[in-house]
Formats: sequence, C-alpha cells, structure tokens
Amino acid sequence: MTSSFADGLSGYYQIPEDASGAEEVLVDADLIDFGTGANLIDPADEENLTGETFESRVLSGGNNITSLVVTNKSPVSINVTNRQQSEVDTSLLGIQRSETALGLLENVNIYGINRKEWGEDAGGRFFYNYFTDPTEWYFRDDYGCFRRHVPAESAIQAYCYPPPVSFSYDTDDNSGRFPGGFANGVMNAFWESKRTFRYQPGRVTGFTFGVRMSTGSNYEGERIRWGCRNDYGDGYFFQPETNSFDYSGGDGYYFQLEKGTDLFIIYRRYNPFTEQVEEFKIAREEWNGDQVSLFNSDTGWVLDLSKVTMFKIEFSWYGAVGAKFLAYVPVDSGEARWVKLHYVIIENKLEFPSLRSAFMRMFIQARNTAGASSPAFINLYGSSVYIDGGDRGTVTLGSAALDVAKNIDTTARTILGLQVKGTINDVENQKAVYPVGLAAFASVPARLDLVLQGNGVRAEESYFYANGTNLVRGASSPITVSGAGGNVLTGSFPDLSAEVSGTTDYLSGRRVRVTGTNIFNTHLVAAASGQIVTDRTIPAGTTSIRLSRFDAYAVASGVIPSGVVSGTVFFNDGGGQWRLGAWTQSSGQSYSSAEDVVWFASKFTGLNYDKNGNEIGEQRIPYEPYRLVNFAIDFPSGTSNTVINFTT
Amino acid sequence: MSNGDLSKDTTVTLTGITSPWPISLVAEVMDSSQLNDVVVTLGTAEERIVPGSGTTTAISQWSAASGLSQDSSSAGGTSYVANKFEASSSDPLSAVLIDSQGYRTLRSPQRVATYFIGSGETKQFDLSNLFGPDKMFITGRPGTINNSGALFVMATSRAASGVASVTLNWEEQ
Repeated sequence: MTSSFADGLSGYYQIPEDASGAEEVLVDADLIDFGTGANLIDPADEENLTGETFESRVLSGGNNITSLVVTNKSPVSINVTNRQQSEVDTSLLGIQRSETALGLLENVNIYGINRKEWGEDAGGRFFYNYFTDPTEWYFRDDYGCFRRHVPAESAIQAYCYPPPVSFSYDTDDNSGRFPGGFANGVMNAFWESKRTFRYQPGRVTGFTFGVRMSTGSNYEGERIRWGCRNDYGDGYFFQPETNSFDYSGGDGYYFQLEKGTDLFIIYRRYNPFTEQVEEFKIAREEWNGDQVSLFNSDTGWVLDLSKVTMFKIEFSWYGAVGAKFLAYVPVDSGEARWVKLHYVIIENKLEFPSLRSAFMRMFIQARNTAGASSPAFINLYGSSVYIDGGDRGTVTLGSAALDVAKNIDTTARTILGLQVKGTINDVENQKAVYPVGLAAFASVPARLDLVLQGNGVRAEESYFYANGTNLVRGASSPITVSGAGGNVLTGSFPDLSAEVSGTTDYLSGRRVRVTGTNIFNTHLVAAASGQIVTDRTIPAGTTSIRLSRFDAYAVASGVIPSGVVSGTVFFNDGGGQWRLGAWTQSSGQSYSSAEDVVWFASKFTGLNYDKNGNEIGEQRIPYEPYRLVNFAIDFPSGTSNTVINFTT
Repeated sequence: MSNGDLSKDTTVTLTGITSPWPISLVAEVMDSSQLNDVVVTLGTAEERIVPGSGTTTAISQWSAASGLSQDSSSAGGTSYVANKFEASSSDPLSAVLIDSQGYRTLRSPQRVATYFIGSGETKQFDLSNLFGPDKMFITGRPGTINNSGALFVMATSRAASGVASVTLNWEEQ
C-alpha cells in the first residue's frame, strides 16, 4: 500500500503492513497541569498520573512512521487504494528505487481477438480414439470446443464441453474413425500470448488478468488454468492434473481450478537432473497469504470465480527467485487493493534454477473430459504485462542487406525476409527481435511493404510458404450409365481393369473413383467391358457419372540429386484428390503408370455425416491444407539395399 | 492413437539398389483437383540454416506433364524463387535467419507498413515506432507450429521496371 502525503511532506512514506485506518481508541493519557503544562505527579510513587480518554486516530503504524493524532472527534478519512506493495512499482527485490513500470502488453477484447497478440492451440483440440467426428456431432446443442470472442462481454473465451460418446460409424470409410462410439474424449482449449515476455535482470515482471469462469461442476475431468508459462513446462499458474492431452507448455506460474471448486496455485519448473518437469501444486489451505475463502479470509472477502476477478502474478528470476500470487480485493470503504494470496518462497534454496527459461507467455486454458454435465470455460477480459524499467544491457544489434539489387516490376515480390531461429547452439530460441530501421534504394519510383506472414508448419524450417506453381486438372467427360440403385453400372467405359486394386488413401495401387450427384466416397472394385462394379451403392435415379482416375501426371525431374540423403518436401492442397511420390532412378526414363513410385502423400476422402448419422457428403482427408514430408535415405550396412523413409 | 489426420510414415526398401538417385517427384491428380506450391529442400532443417549448406528450391515448372495444366501466375510468374532463410556466419548467437534468395508473391500477408521512394533515391526509415519490446516484435516458439512467422520486405515498381535494394537493421534481446 502506498499513501501519499506529498502536500505536507516531501517525498513519500511507505505505510507499513500493520497500519490501521481511522478509528477512535481508548488510551491512557498523561494528566497535565493546564496552568503550567507540566505533568501531574503521583506523590505516592512519583510516577505520572494518567487517565482514560478517547482519541481519534488517523493513522497508526510501526516504528518507521509517525502516528498522527488529532483531538477532533470526527475521524479523518484516508484514501486506502492498495494495501499490497507492488515490487514492480518501487523496488528491486525489496530495495527501494525509482523506475517507471514499462507496459509490454495491454489488451482488451472489445472488437475481436487480436491475432497478432493471441495464439490458440493449433489442432488436437479434441480427441477420442481419433482426431475428429462430424462437425454436427461435436458442436450440437452446447457441446463443442471453442476458442472464441464473446462480443457481449468483450472477452476471449476458451470453452470445452465434449459429447459423452464419440460418433458411431456403420462402415469403415478409411478415415481411421470406425467404429466410433468411444467415451474417452478429452477437449482442450487455450489462448496464449504469441509474444514471450522475458524476465529482465534485476526487474520484476507482472502479469495481470481479469477473468471469469465456470464453477461448481464438481466434475473430476474439468480443469481451468490461468497464468504464465514458458515453452519448457515451467510456469506459475492458478489452476487442475497432468494429462497427455494437455498442452501445458513449459515452466510457469498459474492458477488452477479443479472441478469448479478446488483452487490451486501451480508452480512448474524443469529439473535438469531428472530431465522432467516438476509440478508443485499448492492447495488453498496451504497458501501463506490470504485464502479469501468462506472460513479463512483475512480481508473478510470471499473469492467467487464465477464473477469477474482480477489476479496478478509477479515474478523475478535470477535463477533463484519465486513468485507472488495476488488478487484485487474490495475493502469496506468502497476501495480495493491487491492482496497477497501466496508467495512461492524459494529464494536461494534451489540446486538448479527456479525456471529453465524466464520467457513467459500469458495464457488461459480450459480442459474437460467426456461425461461432463456442463461446459468448462474461462473468459479473459483485460490483461496486461509489465516490467519495471526496462533492460537495454542485453540488447544486440543485427543487420542484413541484399548483396545485389533485385529486379522489380509492378508485381509485389519478396526481396528480403527475416525469421527467427528454432534454436541457437541447440538451445531453443525465444528471443524477441524488433526491426529498428530500413534503408532502401530504387532505380525507379517504388513502393516497399513490410509484411508478416505466418508459417503454419514449423518454426525451425527454413522454407516459408508462399504462392507457387499450381498443377490443375479439370473434370472428365460424363458417362451415361444404367443400373443405378445397385453396385453394377453398365455403360461405355474405358479399360479400367488395372485400376480396381489398391488402397483408397491412394498410397498404393491405382483406384478409380466414381463421382456424381449424391455419390460419396465410391470406388471401383471390378471392371469389365461395358460394366463396372462399385464398393458402394449408386443412388437410384443416377443416369450420369464421371470416372475420376489417376491418369494425369506431372514429373519434376532430378530434384533430389546424387548424394543427398535427407530433406523435406512441402506442398499445399488446392482441392480434390491427388498423390505425390518419389520415383527413384528416374534419369532418362519416360514416366508411365508402370513406374515404381513410392507414394508418400495423398489427399483422399472419408464420409461426412450429420448428427443423426445421415450421410451428407464427403470429408477430405488429411485435413491440413499445408503439409510437409521429411525424407531420409539410408544404406544398411551388410546389405546392398537402399531404405527410404518418409515421415509426415 | 489412430486418428483422422492419418499421418503416415512410409518406409520402402529398394533391394539390390545402392544408388537410388536421381529421385524425381511425381504428382498424379484426379478430376477437378489441384496440387500447389511444391518446394523441395535438401539437407536437414539444421543444416539448411548454415550459410552455403543445403538448398531450397521451388518447383516452378514440372518438366513432363500429361493431362494437367501448370500455372505460376499467383507466384509472380515462372521466374519466382523459393525463400531460403540462413543464419549469419558472423554472429552464431543471433536469433535471426535471413532470406535474401526469395523472390515471389506471398499468400495473404499481413501488411505492417508501406513506404514510397522516388526514382534513384536512397532513403532510411525509422521502424522503432512499429517494433519494440512494448510493441510488435518477432519471436519464435521452439518445436511447435505456432511460431509467429516471418517479416518480409516486398518491393513493387510504380511504373517501369528497375532494381531495388534494401538493408534491414534490428535489435534482439
């Protein structure tokens, strides 16, 4: 708490923690002779005579502050604004100093989610035994997994409410989902700042949150977290148990609410000796500050997480410093103040650093499992990150220039790019890079654009997705058929006898698809002159189909030259079905369907259903539009063989 | 876990072959379908960021094609070049990789700022009002797909063709 007496006294006084506000108190006062002003003495023992009287006390305190006493019976009010001292504002680990807090992040969510600031968990949001079910099944009624903006509350929300069982499939559509009906679903949703906020030597970092969340479910599988964490598993957070479906990031400090009732403070750190992340889970009754609970509240205030509540986490590092967890607590006078809930006191007690890395991200997270009777959600309203002062001592400069000027025309093209490394000397890179200057020359009037583009693949890859060459194929001619309503169609067909075997993910063989109105995921299983047999019934009334075949190709010759044993192939789906393969020893040969190609990637289809199990179309698989495949070529010793491995 | 994204690892043994090269990429495409933006990088990801090591090559033209059409107009024409990010040999502790090879259009980039310069001019632009520790900055996320991407300088002539060159200075911490 800081109270200003700047009008009458120079500088500021720090009011001690045991200070109390205005009140009337009964005191033993010395009796004096009004005529002379001298104390009255008891002749029996030569001590001062005293008598009881009421005094109005404005402030009282410890040894370091003068108590001001007035004789006015009316208490003089004081403006108590913050009883909890913020180290960020005034001190360097308790040593007073004058430095202005530097705001690094101030975020409100009135108009939407700032995607430059906030990242969400990408993929893997919900699992049963597999990745996904029909959308209508996952998101019916109140079920679903959302990372969304809530305009009516100016909030960003993480929300999880998994259906009790996954969708049941009647047939195996080659999508990996058959037979379904699993009850082991887990949904996980989080928002996390894209920026990492680094500890700066000698400074204290503060994260503040205004949050509201679901409470009172009493369901074991529900857990909500908010706080800060790094990418190693460290963290300080208000939180609920570790699960393989959890993205827990790394070290950190956070709150954790379990079952909507049990609140914990979590401190996670990486142990370099065991190479495991350790989690210290501090139950509310073990907090060394105010528990703000119904039966144990120093302030008289009881925390209700269903109401919007402000929390703060302050931490320093030096490798040896802990963290404070605070809440903004209202007081009787109509004001509020930061109140310490718990102090993770680990100063100078550790055999290894308190955090492996002090680069922290702000985050909120909700997790729930199948069987829950209500959603788990957390809303984040305002949020901020600040560091007292700012550290310029560790800033380094860099510069990059084009060696040779590049041709430019009226089409905008990249001429210089900057990306961050995945690692520096095998240590994962979490540095912040900020361009400070651009110098440019152009021989003609020119426009320069600074643009950001997300990668969508991996941080460490040196290739960055952009537009390239498209391989395009149109539709084939329709074929008039009869026999619809069954699996045998007659008509005028080309010779398809070599295109009826192989897998329907197209990674082996050469299957023909049948397409047409309301014909879904249908392939040939046999072909003869004037007749084809399909693996699924052709809808009654169908008189025209198309045959979708792998009879169009393109070859990029010699792209993996002699001696190269590793690399990556990147590609981007443009629609439909296709496959990509490696053709070995291809020099000088003409490509034909008889060549031995190792197909390593494809786009194919499964079936799509509504929530009632009715087929409503096809679902293209895999789902990611951008993909990469790594390859490695090996020559096992003692053999004359070559082993090529493709890893998606 | 079997899952719907059906990520697959494919291993093939070529019996009696000790030299599988050259290895060509082949694409086969069905009706009403499209495959885009194929790029091949040689060497591991770690190797490729070492200056002078590895290559990053966009397949801007497929040498033999049947039944398919090729279109590179969205990349700026067949002269486009893949981006390749390399480390600086002079500062191995730098956090930054630089692409000076790339020469192509981008897919839905987020524009941060636009500057204009005249014919034959050299100009310097202060970027500290855009980037800084309390503003935008570029940072990574090790080992995951949520990295914040890259910053590019794109150039466009406002009339006739010409040449342009740029220098980018940054701070890192």
